[in-house]
Amino acid sequence: MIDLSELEHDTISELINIGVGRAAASLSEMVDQPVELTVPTITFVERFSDSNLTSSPEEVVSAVSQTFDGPFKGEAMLVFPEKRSLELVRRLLKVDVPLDTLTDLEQEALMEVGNIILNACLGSIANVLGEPINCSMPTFRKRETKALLNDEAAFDTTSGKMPVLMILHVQFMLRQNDIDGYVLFVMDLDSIQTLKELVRRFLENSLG
Amino acid sequence: MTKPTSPIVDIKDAAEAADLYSNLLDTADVGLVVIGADRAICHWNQWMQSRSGILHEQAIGKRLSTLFPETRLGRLCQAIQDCLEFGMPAVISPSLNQGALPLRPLPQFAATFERMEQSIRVHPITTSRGDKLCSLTVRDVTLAVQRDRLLRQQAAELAELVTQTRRSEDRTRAILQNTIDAILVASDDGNIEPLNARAQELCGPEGDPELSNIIRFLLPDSQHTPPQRPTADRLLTDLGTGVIEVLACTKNGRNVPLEVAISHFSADGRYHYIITLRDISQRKRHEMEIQRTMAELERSNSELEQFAYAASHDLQEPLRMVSSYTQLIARRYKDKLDETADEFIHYAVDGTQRMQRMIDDLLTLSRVGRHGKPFHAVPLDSLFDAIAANFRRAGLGPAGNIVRDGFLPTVTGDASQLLLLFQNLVSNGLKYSDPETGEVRIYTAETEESWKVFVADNGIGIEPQYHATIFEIFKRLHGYGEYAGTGIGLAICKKIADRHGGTITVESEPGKGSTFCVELPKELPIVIAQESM
Repeated sequence: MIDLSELEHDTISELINIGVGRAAASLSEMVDQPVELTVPTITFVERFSDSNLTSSPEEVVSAVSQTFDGPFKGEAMLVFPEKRSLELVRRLLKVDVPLDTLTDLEQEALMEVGNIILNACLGSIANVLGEPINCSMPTFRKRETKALLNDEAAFDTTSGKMPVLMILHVQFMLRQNDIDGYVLFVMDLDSIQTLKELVRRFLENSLG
Repeated sequence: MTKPTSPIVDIKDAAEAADLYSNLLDTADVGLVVIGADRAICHWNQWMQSRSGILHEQAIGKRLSTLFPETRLGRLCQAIQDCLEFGMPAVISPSLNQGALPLRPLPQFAATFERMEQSIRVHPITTSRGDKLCSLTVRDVTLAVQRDRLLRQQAAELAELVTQTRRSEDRTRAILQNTIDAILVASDDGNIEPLNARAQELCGPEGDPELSNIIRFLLPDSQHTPPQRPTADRLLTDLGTGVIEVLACTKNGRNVPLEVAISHFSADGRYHYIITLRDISQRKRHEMEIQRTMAELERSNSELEQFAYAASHDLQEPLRMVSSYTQLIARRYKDKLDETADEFIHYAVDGTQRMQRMIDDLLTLSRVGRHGKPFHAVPLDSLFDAIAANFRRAGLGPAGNIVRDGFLPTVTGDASQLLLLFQNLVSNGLKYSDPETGEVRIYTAETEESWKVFVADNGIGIEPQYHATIFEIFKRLHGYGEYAGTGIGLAICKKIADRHGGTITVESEPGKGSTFCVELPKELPIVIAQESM
């Protein structure tokens, strides 16, 4: 079903890494301190429960989500455990506030960070695609991990088309600390096939 | 169904609709900017006009980076580019991009904010003709930023306060824990809670199970049924003396005498008692030691007095015999034997007389302790009247050789002993002075706690090295031939002064006379007061 060759997998990985590299550069400039972003692994799973994100289902996570539409459609999400998201925002903003939830402004800052990263990833794909992807404004969610994808109803489940997840493990490195998060691409099977097709075409072009 | 009334604005009519939308955009409380694919501004609403100071006419057709050159390389321009090229929407948050556009804050924020704090949304728009546009929505979030700063500041202050409180609490706890005394707190419902380790030790499971009940009994006005009075062996002091001492018997068999101090405070509208238990084992041991030593001392002292009394009393009998017969021999055989015999007899008579005086003085000395009379108020004026009268009667020295200088107070003491004391001093003063010009001066000085009575003479004076020893018994500085005396007089004076809780000292220079000072306390020390009752 998701039968990607090693080369195809590497290509996607490469594209994503170019994207997040660009995102890291803009973030560094914005916060005036070095921000490094890497994507050590990319995995594809068919069910959310298969991913290692659900190892602690009760954990509260902060998520910035953007839906996208076009030749391939779905939802992209940057997900952090709530504590990590607090840490990330406060390191970026260089403040140390003893509050244990995000303030509205911090939430908006996290949204912007998510927006930059998701745009970069989607932008890289759009680049290969050769035409723009319509994405929505980012929205912010805070909920338990197990309820993160409750909006799956948006996908056409009646037709038996279960969504497929592309999970990017992203690592922020700033001020000598690693902060781990995930980028989730929730797509239907058609979209993943399109993506695969696009990657194949891209490879043919660049190799041929 | 009611017949639909025709709408006030017909949005089917292009002109009317355009007018409506244009009005809507201009009255919106957000900044609205539309940028075309050529990067030129094609919409600039009223809000942008008033906040930027750039008129609609000045903005239209210009690039944003021309109006605001500082934005050329920033995040906003990048976002606009991404939006126009790839259709990517963007969030520009105030925290990560302070004052992305140089817009004026509202007057109420002008003092604290140089620029308006903005939250910007960059969104792609596709026109009906298929053109790509980029819209900017700018919201003024200065108030939110101000509130956020306040929140952070207060949160930081709160955290600091919590840290301080915790530190101070830790310190207080450490002090409490490491206090040698056991500290407990009792609330008015009779519940007793040990506050530190020592209290836990004494009242806890390893301590004395009875101790809590004893404490409960000691607490004032307990509202509950009064607890059983502790047995006498547990309550070491009488209640009402102000000092409470109890005995704790711990499980490991140790008996610990404790001094109990109770104080109180009110909290949450309730009365609480703080009970402090101090281990006084050491003090109790010392007290017993002192008591034992005191008893020992008293016994040996009274034994000594008894001995002195008995000795001098019993010595009198054989001495009287010797004295009577030597006097008989002196009377009867005077001038009948040779000159040498007369001389010998004279010495024998003189010796027995001296012996008699010494025994009398010794008896007096031993009586000072044994036969003291209760203390009364003694006016020194009449005391010295009596002394002067005694000396006149005895015909010692010229009249007026005892001078009283200034006011003489009334002191407390044994009148006959004080008479003896000052008579001895006056007599000494006259004895060691020129019989013709000798003069003794009496004067007093007052201190806060005592009266000082001075007896000063103009006699021969005393060498400094003897000042301390002259009050010892049988201490004589001169041969019997020069000045008569038994060497007991000043010892008697000292003993009387001691009994009155006072002191006797001397200041003197040879040839310039001596001044004796008797200091008598105004308030008698407890021990002496009890003794003199």
